Amino acid sequence: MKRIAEAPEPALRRGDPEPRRIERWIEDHHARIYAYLRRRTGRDSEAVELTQQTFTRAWGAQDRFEGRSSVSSWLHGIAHHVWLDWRRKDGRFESRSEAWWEQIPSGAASPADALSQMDSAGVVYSAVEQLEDDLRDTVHLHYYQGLTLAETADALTIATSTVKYRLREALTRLQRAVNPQNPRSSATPSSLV
Amino acid sequence: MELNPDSLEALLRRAPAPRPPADLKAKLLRGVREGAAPVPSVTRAAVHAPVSDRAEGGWRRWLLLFLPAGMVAALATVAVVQKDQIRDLRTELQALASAEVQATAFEASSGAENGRSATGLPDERREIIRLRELLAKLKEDAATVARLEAENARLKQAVAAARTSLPPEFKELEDGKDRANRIMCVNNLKQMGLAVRIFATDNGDEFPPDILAMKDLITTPKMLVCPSDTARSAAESWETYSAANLSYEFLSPGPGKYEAEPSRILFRCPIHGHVGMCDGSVQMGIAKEHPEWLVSRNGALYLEGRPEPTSAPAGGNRPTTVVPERRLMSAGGKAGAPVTGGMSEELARRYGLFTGSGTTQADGRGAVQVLDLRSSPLPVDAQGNPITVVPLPVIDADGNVVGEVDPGTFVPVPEGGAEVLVEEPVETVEPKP
Repeated sequence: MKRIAEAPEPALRRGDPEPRRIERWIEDHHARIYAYLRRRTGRDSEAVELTQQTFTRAWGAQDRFEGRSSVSSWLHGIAHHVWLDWRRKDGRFESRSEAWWEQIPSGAASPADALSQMDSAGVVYSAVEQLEDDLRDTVHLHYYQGLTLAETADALTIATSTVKYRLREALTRLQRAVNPQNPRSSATPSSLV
Repeated sequence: MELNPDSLEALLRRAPAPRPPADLKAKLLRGVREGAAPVPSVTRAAVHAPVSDRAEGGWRRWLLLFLPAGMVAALATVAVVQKDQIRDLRTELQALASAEVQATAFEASSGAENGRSATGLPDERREIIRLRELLAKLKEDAATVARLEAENARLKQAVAAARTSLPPEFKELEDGKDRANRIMCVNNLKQMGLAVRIFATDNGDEFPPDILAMKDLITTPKMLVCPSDTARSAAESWETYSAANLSYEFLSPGPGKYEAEPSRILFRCPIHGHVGMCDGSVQMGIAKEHPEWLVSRNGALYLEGRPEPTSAPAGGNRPTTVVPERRLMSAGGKAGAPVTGGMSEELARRYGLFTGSGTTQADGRGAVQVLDLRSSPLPVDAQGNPITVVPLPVIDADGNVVGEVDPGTFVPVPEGGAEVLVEEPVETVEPKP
């Protein structure tokens, strides 16, 4: 996921309306937020609605944003909780099948095609959806959404060390899912050392 | 298909990114420009908190839970106040009734005297008038009493109806609280019994004359109030302690050496009916559920009327009797003797122990099955093993307290029983066939 370069966001004075700022956030981040929610909900209509809710909440809380974290991690944090709300509301528990990942709409070339690892991609993405909630949230935000470790930690309001632990744990499980013949394999990529 | 960690990461980073609908950005911007988006400013924590917690799940859930409780409490309070008023009015009624009798007698004698003499006594007349006024007030109060009694009965019915209409969660809460209070009450009695025994040990086996004599042995005066006793409050300190801060009945005060009378009752909880024995053990609910088991003799109360428990079925570890007390306690005896011989049945019954199979070891320790004897059939875990509640300190082979299990903690009894140390020598009794 290509990361978006962000200009430093000055803290907004309380009650100071700045409509251009929220418009700039929409311009810069709506596609990523939509992609995140689309992956989590699995439905276009729900993803659109939740994206609107995310920016609605961001609009209402923008005077609280003090610029200590990046806009991206802040918006992802809101989006994550909007999604949690949506899921809890009617007791929804999403489960993405392998077929869902194969049919997922994307303008980019399929990573499976690009890597000539169609089987691996399908297995890996499906295995991600089988992870526990906390591991899955971390994988989505860090790998799929491209947030840094610190941004992921900020979005999930957890420590960076916890993010690293979760990612190591997730990768270990994913590697076991991909390499069932080698169940003892452990995964510690260079980025997490 | 072998993926190393780095290639796995690369694969994850290249996960397909769904493209947003073409009109999404315009829709979002339009929402902002038209002012549809603004919502009241909220904190960051609130932004991250689920909507359901903030809007619906929060106060409404608690309101639904506590509204019936509040109603019941209010009705109960009104009922209690009215009951007090009725009692006061009855007292006044009795006083006035006796005054009326006096007035009638006085009036008769006064009238007879007036008949003989035309000169009445002004003081006596005034007294008659006053008594007549009292009589009128008496009749008025009697009517008020009747009205309040009817109102009280109606409120009691309302309280009962409200209790039955409580949501199941609240009933569970109430049950849980009652159970916790019962356990806390037992704990209080155990602590007080322990304090008495320590006092006796330090004073030539003489029992303390009163509670205050044990103030250095009782951690806090709060322990002297049963948690279900709403009429009393605990003393803040021993300096302010009085009999009003004691829920329990101290039935065996010193001077006297009562430790040799294990069936003698030391303390009694008037609310739960728990009784603390002179040997420090506590029997739950006895005074309330089986008052016929309590025998009064020479000004003392003894637990002697209880029928002997029947023995456990052959080959099984489950007793068929219900003994409302359980305690991790000592057992043992001569080396090689059956464990059941290490403790008399009476002692085992009092300590709530059921002795299992096994033999006493050379050091006097025995394998003892500690079971929750309050319920029958006994609770078992997923593997079918008995589960017990062990609320007392765990003692090692050297007699040291090595741990404590909180009351209410369920501990699976290991196969073969738990090994505990002999705490006091008991006469070896051969098990009954």
